Amino acid sequence: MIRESIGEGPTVEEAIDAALAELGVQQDAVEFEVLEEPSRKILGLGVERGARVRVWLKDEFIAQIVDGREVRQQEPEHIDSPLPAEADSQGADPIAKSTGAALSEEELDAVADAASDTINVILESFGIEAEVEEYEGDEDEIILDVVGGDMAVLIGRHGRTLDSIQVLTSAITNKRLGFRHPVIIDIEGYRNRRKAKLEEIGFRAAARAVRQGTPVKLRPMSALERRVIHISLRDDPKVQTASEGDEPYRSVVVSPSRR
Amino acid sequence: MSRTADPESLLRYLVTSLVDSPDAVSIAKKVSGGSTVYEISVDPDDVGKVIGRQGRIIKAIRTVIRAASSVNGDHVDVEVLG
Repeated sequence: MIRESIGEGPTVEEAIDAALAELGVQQDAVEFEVLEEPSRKILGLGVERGARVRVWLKDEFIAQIVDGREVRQQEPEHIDSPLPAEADSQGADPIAKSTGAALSEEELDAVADAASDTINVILESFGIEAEVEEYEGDEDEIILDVVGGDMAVLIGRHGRTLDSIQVLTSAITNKRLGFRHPVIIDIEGYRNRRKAKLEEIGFRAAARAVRQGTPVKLRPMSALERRVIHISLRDDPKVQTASEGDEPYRSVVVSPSRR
Repeated sequence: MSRTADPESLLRYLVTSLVDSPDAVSIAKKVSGGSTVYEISVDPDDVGKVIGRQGRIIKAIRTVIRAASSVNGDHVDVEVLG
Protein backbone atom coordinates (compact mmCIF):
# COMPACT_ATOMS: atom_id res chain seq x y z
CA MET A 1 0.00 0.00 0.00
CA ILE A 2 1.25 3.47 -0.87
CA ARG A 3 1.13 5.63 2.23
CA GLU A 4 2.79 8.72 0.95
CA SER A 5 3.05 10.67 -2.26
CA ILE A 6 4.71 13.79 -3.57
CA GLY A 7 2.32 15.89 -5.63
CA GLU A 8 3.14 18.69 -8.03
CA GLY A 9 0.90 21.29 -9.61
CA PRO A 10 0.57 24.95 -10.42
CA THR A 11 -0.92 25.60 -7.00
CA VAL A 12 -0.73 23.89 -3.61
CA GLU A 13 -4.37 22.79 -3.94
CA GLU A 14 -3.74 21.18 -7.31
CA ALA A 15 -0.51 19.56 -6.11
CA ILE A 16 -2.47 18.00 -3.25
CA ASP A 17 -5.15 16.83 -5.69
CA ALA A 18 -2.46 15.16 -7.81
CA ALA A 19 -1.05 13.38 -4.74
CA LEU A 20 -4.56 12.34 -3.64
CA ALA A 21 -5.17 10.84 -7.06
CA GLU A 22 -1.92 8.90 -6.71
CA LEU A 23 -2.91 7.63 -3.26
CA GLY A 24 -6.50 6.99 -4.32
CA VAL A 25 -8.00 8.64 -1.25
CA GLN A 26 -9.91 11.80 -0.33
CA GLN A 27 -8.52 14.83 1.44
CA ASP A 28 -9.96 13.87 4.84
CA ALA A 29 -7.69 10.80 4.92
CA VAL A 30 -4.41 12.67 4.73
CA GLU A 31 -2.12 15.25 6.19
CA PHE A 32 0.30 17.22 4.10
CA GLU A 33 3.22 19.59 4.16
CA VAL A 34 4.18 22.09 1.51
CA LEU A 35 7.69 21.41 0.22
CA GLU A 36 7.76 24.24 -2.26
CA GLU A 37 5.40 27.16 -2.73
CA PRO A 38 4.71 28.01 -6.34
CA SER A 39 6.82 30.90 -7.57
CA ARG A 40 5.54 33.36 -10.08
CA LYS A 41 7.40 34.84 -12.99
CA ILE A 42 9.36 37.91 -12.01
CA LEU A 43 8.92 40.65 -14.59
CA GLY A 44 8.03 37.97 -17.11
CA LEU A 45 11.49 36.47 -16.78
CA GLY A 46 12.85 33.43 -15.11
CA VAL A 47 11.40 30.04 -14.49
CA GLU A 48 7.90 29.61 -13.22
CA ARG A 49 7.88 26.79 -10.71
CA GLY A 50 4.88 24.91 -9.44
CA ALA A 51 4.04 23.80 -5.94
CA ARG A 52 5.35 20.56 -4.42
CA VAL A 53 3.66 18.91 -1.48
CA ARG A 54 4.23 15.76 0.52
CA VAL A 55 0.95 14.02 1.34
CA TRP A 56 0.66 11.07 3.67
CA LEU A 57 -2.16 8.92 5.02
CA LYS A 58 -3.26 9.61 8.58
CA ASP A 59 -2.51 6.75 10.97
CA GLU A 60 -6.18 6.25 11.79
CA PHE A 61 -6.94 5.98 8.08
CA ILE A 62 -4.28 3.29 7.62
CA ALA A 63 -5.87 1.43 10.50
CA GLN A 64 -9.24 1.66 8.76
CA ILE A 65 -7.81 0.28 5.53
CA VAL A 66 -6.21 -2.59 7.41
CA ASP A 67 -9.63 -3.25 8.97
CA GLY A 68 -10.97 -3.46 5.44
CA ARG A 69 -13.52 -0.75 6.02
CA GLU A 70 -12.07 1.55 3.41
CA VAL A 71 -11.32 -1.06 0.78
CA ARG A 72 -14.24 0.05 -1.36
CA GLN A 73 -12.94 3.58 -1.52
CA GLN A 74 -9.58 2.30 -2.73
CA GLU A 75 -10.99 0.37 -5.65
CA PRO A 76 -11.97 3.07 -8.12
CA GLU A 77 -8.42 4.25 -8.65
CA HIS A 78 -7.30 0.68 -9.23
CA ILE A 79 -9.75 0.16 -12.07
CA ASP A 80 -7.00 1.82 -14.07
CA SER A 81 -4.63 -1.07 -13.77
CA PRO A 82 -6.05 -3.32 -16.53
CA LEU A 83 -5.29 -0.49 -18.95
CA PRO A 84 -1.71 0.43 -18.09
CA ALA A 85 -0.69 1.73 -21.49
CA GLU A 86 -3.42 4.35 -21.51
CA ALA A 87 -1.95 6.48 -18.75
CA ASP A 88 0.62 8.02 -21.03
CA SER A 89 -1.58 8.69 -23.99
CA GLN A 90 -4.64 10.40 -22.65
CA GLY A 91 -5.57 13.30 -20.49
CA ALA A 92 -6.31 12.41 -16.93
CA ASP A 93 -8.20 14.74 -14.65
CA PRO A 94 -6.68 18.09 -15.65
CA ILE A 95 -5.91 18.81 -12.01
CA ALA A 96 -3.60 15.82 -11.84
CA LYS A 97 -2.48 16.42 -15.37
CA SER A 98 -0.68 19.71 -15.01
CA THR A 99 2.95 19.06 -14.48
CA GLY A 100 3.50 22.44 -12.92
CA ALA A 101 6.81 22.51 -14.71
CA ALA A 102 7.34 25.55 -16.87
CA LEU A 103 7.40 24.84 -20.57
CA SER A 104 9.61 26.79 -22.91
CA GLU A 105 8.02 28.99 -25.58
CA GLU A 106 8.98 26.35 -28.16
CA GLU A 107 7.23 23.63 -26.17
CA LEU A 108 4.11 25.77 -25.74
CA ASP A 109 4.13 26.44 -29.48
CA ALA A 110 4.45 22.72 -30.15
CA VAL A 111 1.42 22.06 -27.93
CA ALA A 112 -0.58 24.78 -29.69
CA ASP A 113 0.43 23.49 -33.15
CA ALA A 114 -0.42 19.87 -32.40
CA ALA A 115 -3.75 20.81 -30.83
CA SER A 116 -4.57 23.15 -33.72
CA ASP A 117 -3.86 20.43 -36.29
CA THR A 118 -6.27 18.12 -34.51
CA ILE A 119 -9.05 20.68 -34.08
CA ASN A 120 -8.73 21.65 -37.76
CA VAL A 121 -9.15 18.03 -38.88
CA ILE A 122 -12.22 17.77 -36.65
CA LEU A 123 -13.75 20.99 -38.02
CA GLU A 124 -13.11 19.89 -41.60
CA SER A 125 -14.69 16.50 -40.93
CA PHE A 126 -17.77 18.26 -39.56
CA GLY A 127 -17.96 20.27 -42.78
CA ILE A 128 -17.49 23.45 -40.79
CA GLU A 129 -15.41 26.42 -41.87
CA ALA A 130 -14.21 28.39 -38.89
CA GLU A 131 -11.27 30.30 -37.52
CA VAL A 132 -9.25 28.93 -34.61
CA GLU A 133 -7.81 31.53 -32.25
CA GLU A 134 -4.95 30.46 -30.01
CA TYR A 135 -4.07 31.97 -26.69
CA GLU A 136 -2.59 31.06 -23.31
CA GLY A 137 -4.72 30.98 -20.20
CA ASP A 138 -3.87 32.13 -16.67
CA GLU A 139 -2.59 28.66 -15.80
CA ASP A 140 -0.37 28.42 -18.89
CA GLU A 141 -2.96 26.21 -20.54
CA ILE A 142 -3.33 26.45 -24.30
CA ILE A 143 -6.79 27.69 -25.24
CA LEU A 144 -8.13 27.23 -28.75
CA ASP A 145 -11.30 29.19 -29.42
CA VAL A 146 -13.27 28.22 -32.51
CA VAL A 147 -14.97 31.27 -33.98
CA GLY A 148 -17.45 31.68 -36.83
CA GLY A 149 -20.51 29.99 -38.28
CA ASP A 150 -23.18 27.87 -36.65
CA MET A 151 -21.44 26.22 -33.73
CA ALA A 152 -24.42 24.51 -32.05
CA VAL A 153 -23.44 21.13 -33.50
CA LEU A 154 -19.92 21.43 -32.03
CA ILE A 155 -21.17 22.36 -28.59
CA GLY A 156 -23.93 19.74 -28.33
CA ARG A 157 -26.34 19.29 -25.46
CA HIS A 158 -24.90 20.63 -22.18
CA GLY A 159 -21.62 21.11 -24.01
CA ARG A 160 -21.07 17.38 -24.25
CA THR A 161 -19.77 17.37 -27.82
CA LEU A 162 -17.39 20.21 -26.97
CA ASP A 163 -16.13 18.31 -23.92
CA SER A 164 -15.57 15.21 -26.07
CA ILE A 165 -13.70 17.21 -28.69
CA GLN A 166 -11.51 18.54 -25.91
CA VAL A 167 -10.85 15.08 -24.43
CA LEU A 168 -9.79 13.77 -27.84
CA THR A 169 -7.74 16.81 -28.80
CA SER A 170 -5.85 16.64 -25.48
CA ALA A 171 -5.29 12.90 -25.74
CA ILE A 172 -3.97 13.17 -29.29
CA THR A 173 -1.79 16.19 -28.46
CA ASN A 174 -0.31 14.47 -25.40
CA LYS A 175 0.29 11.32 -27.39
CA ARG A 176 2.02 13.20 -30.18
CA LEU A 177 4.26 15.28 -27.92
CA GLY A 178 5.02 12.66 -25.29
CA PHE A 179 4.25 15.05 -22.43
CA ARG A 180 1.10 16.43 -20.93
CA HIS A 181 -0.03 19.99 -20.97
CA PRO A 182 -3.58 21.25 -20.51
CA VAL A 183 -5.39 22.09 -23.73
CA ILE A 184 -8.78 23.80 -23.59
CA ILE A 185 -11.09 23.90 -26.59
CA ASP A 186 -13.71 26.61 -26.58
CA ILE A 187 -16.42 27.58 -29.03
CA GLU A 188 -16.98 31.32 -29.30
CA GLY A 189 -16.32 31.79 -25.62
CA TYR A 190 -18.97 29.22 -24.60
CA ARG A 191 -16.76 27.97 -21.78
CA ASN A 192 -16.22 31.48 -20.48
CA ARG A 193 -19.95 31.98 -20.17
CA ARG A 194 -20.33 28.59 -18.49
CA LYS A 195 -17.31 29.32 -16.31
CA ALA A 196 -18.97 32.45 -14.96
CA LYS A 197 -22.01 30.37 -14.03
CA LEU A 198 -19.87 27.76 -12.26
CA GLU A 199 -17.96 30.41 -10.32
CA GLU A 200 -21.29 31.82 -9.18
CA ILE A 201 -22.28 28.33 -7.93
CA GLY A 202 -18.93 28.06 -6.10
CA PHE A 203 -19.23 31.47 -4.45
CA ARG A 204 -22.78 30.75 -3.29
CA ALA A 205 -21.71 27.39 -1.83
CA ALA A 206 -18.79 29.07 -0.03
CA ALA A 207 -21.11 31.68 1.49
CA ARG A 208 -23.47 28.95 2.65
CA ALA A 209 -20.66 26.77 4.07
CA VAL A 210 -19.35 29.72 6.10
CA ARG A 211 -22.83 30.75 7.27
CA GLN A 212 -23.86 27.22 8.31
CA GLY A 213 -20.43 26.13 9.52
CA THR A 214 -20.90 22.83 7.67
CA PRO A 215 -19.57 21.40 4.40
CA VAL A 216 -21.66 22.00 1.29
CA LYS A 217 -21.65 19.34 -1.40
CA LEU A 218 -22.27 20.47 -4.96
CA ARG A 219 -23.94 18.50 -7.75
CA PRO A 220 -21.75 15.97 -9.57
CA MET A 221 -19.53 17.69 -12.09
CA SER A 222 -17.02 16.81 -14.76
CA ALA A 223 -13.31 17.20 -13.95
CA LEU A 224 -13.25 20.44 -15.94
CA GLU A 225 -16.18 21.90 -14.06
CA ARG A 226 -14.67 20.88 -10.70
CA ARG A 227 -11.42 22.52 -11.66
CA VAL A 228 -13.21 25.82 -12.23
CA ILE A 229 -14.74 25.63 -8.73
CA HIS A 230 -11.42 24.67 -7.03
CA ILE A 231 -9.61 27.53 -8.74
CA SER A 232 -12.32 30.11 -8.07
CA LEU A 233 -12.25 29.39 -4.32
CA ARG A 234 -8.56 28.71 -3.73
CA ASP A 235 -7.86 32.29 -2.68
CA ASP A 236 -10.74 32.36 -0.22
CA PRO A 237 -9.20 31.69 3.24
CA LYS A 238 -12.64 31.05 4.75
CA VAL A 239 -13.23 27.82 2.84
CA GLN A 240 -11.47 24.71 1.58
CA THR A 241 -12.50 22.62 -1.39
CA ALA A 242 -12.04 18.94 -2.17
CA SER A 243 -13.43 16.50 -4.71
CA GLU A 244 -15.28 13.47 -3.38
CA GLY A 245 -16.98 10.40 -4.80
CA ASP A 246 -16.44 8.33 -7.91
CA GLU A 247 -16.87 9.38 -11.53
CA PRO A 248 -19.29 10.20 -12.99
CA TYR A 249 -20.79 11.31 -9.67
CA ARG A 250 -17.65 12.97 -8.32
CA SER A 251 -18.46 16.34 -6.84
CA VAL A 252 -16.84 19.26 -5.07
CA VAL A 253 -17.34 19.69 -1.35
CA VAL A 254 -16.86 23.22 0.00
CA SER A 255 -16.02 23.23 3.72
CA PRO A 256 -15.48 26.06 6.16
CA SER A 257 -11.78 26.37 7.05
CA ARG A 258 -10.80 24.91 10.39
CA ARG A 259 -8.76 27.94 11.29
CA MET B 1 -26.36 25.76 -48.16
CA SER B 2 -25.61 22.11 -47.71
CA ARG B 3 -22.85 20.92 -45.47
CA THR B 4 -21.41 17.47 -45.66
CA ALA B 5 -19.50 15.90 -42.85
CA ASP B 6 -17.15 12.96 -43.12
CA PRO B 7 -17.51 11.01 -39.87
CA GLU B 8 -15.78 7.93 -41.22
CA SER B 9 -12.50 9.64 -42.05
CA LEU B 10 -12.70 11.54 -38.75
CA LEU B 11 -13.04 8.24 -36.91
CA ARG B 12 -10.03 6.87 -38.76
CA TYR B 13 -8.00 9.98 -37.91
CA LEU B 14 -8.92 9.88 -34.22
CA VAL B 15 -8.21 6.18 -33.76
CA THR B 16 -4.94 6.11 -35.71
CA SER B 17 -3.75 9.20 -33.79
CA LEU B 18 -4.35 7.54 -30.42
CA VAL B 19 -2.72 4.15 -30.95
CA ASP B 20 0.89 2.97 -31.10
CA SER B 21 0.25 0.80 -34.17
CA PRO B 22 -1.78 2.87 -36.66
CA ASP B 23 -1.19 0.28 -39.39
CA ALA B 24 -3.13 -2.28 -37.40
CA VAL B 25 -6.27 -0.10 -37.31
CA SER B 26 -9.22 -1.21 -39.38
CA ILE B 27 -12.71 0.21 -39.43
CA ALA B 28 -15.67 -1.72 -40.81
CA LYS B 29 -18.97 -0.02 -41.59
CA LYS B 30 -21.96 -2.30 -40.96
CA VAL B 31 -25.33 -1.12 -42.19
CA SER B 32 -28.41 -3.07 -41.20
CA GLY B 33 -31.91 -1.69 -41.50
CA GLY B 34 -31.72 2.01 -40.74
CA SER B 35 -28.73 1.85 -38.42
CA THR B 36 -25.03 2.14 -39.10
CA VAL B 37 -22.32 0.76 -36.82
CA TYR B 38 -18.62 1.44 -37.20
CA GLU B 39 -16.60 -1.46 -35.84
CA ILE B 40 -13.06 -0.56 -34.87
CA SER B 41 -10.32 -3.15 -34.55
CA VAL B 42 -6.85 -2.31 -33.31
CA ASP B 43 -3.75 -4.09 -32.13
CA PRO B 44 -4.58 -5.90 -28.86
CA ASP B 45 -2.01 -3.70 -27.05
CA ASP B 46 -3.87 -0.58 -28.22
CA VAL B 47 -7.38 -1.52 -27.08
CA GLY B 48 -6.89 0.29 -23.76
CA LYS B 49 -5.85 3.48 -25.52
CA VAL B 50 -8.98 3.57 -27.65
CA ILE B 51 -11.24 2.82 -24.68
CA GLY B 52 -9.47 4.97 -22.08
CA ARG B 53 -9.82 5.00 -18.34
CA GLN B 54 -13.42 4.20 -17.43
CA GLY B 55 -14.33 4.36 -21.12
CA ARG B 56 -13.52 8.04 -21.29
CA ILE B 57 -11.95 7.98 -24.75
CA ILE B 58 -14.45 5.69 -26.48
CA LYS B 59 -17.32 7.74 -25.02
CA ALA B 60 -15.77 10.90 -26.44
CA ILE B 61 -15.23 9.20 -29.82
CA ARG B 62 -18.88 8.08 -29.90
CA THR B 63 -20.17 11.54 -28.99
CA VAL B 64 -18.07 13.27 -31.63
CA ILE B 65 -18.78 10.74 -34.40
CA ARG B 66 -22.51 10.84 -33.68
CA ALA B 67 -22.45 14.64 -33.79
CA ALA B 68 -20.57 14.61 -37.12
CA SER B 69 -23.03 12.05 -38.54
CA SER B 70 -25.99 14.12 -37.40
CA VAL B 71 -24.81 16.92 -39.71
CA ASN B 72 -25.68 14.55 -42.59
CA GLY B 73 -28.87 13.44 -40.87
CA ASP B 74 -27.46 10.00 -40.01
CA HIS B 75 -27.54 7.97 -36.80
CA VAL B 76 -24.48 5.86 -36.13
CA ASP B 77 -22.87 3.85 -33.37
CA VAL B 78 -19.23 3.03 -32.74
CA GLU B 79 -17.99 -0.23 -31.24
CA VAL B 80 -14.52 -1.52 -30.42
CA LEU B 81 -13.95 -5.17 -31.23
CA GLY B 82 -11.93 -6.58 -28.35
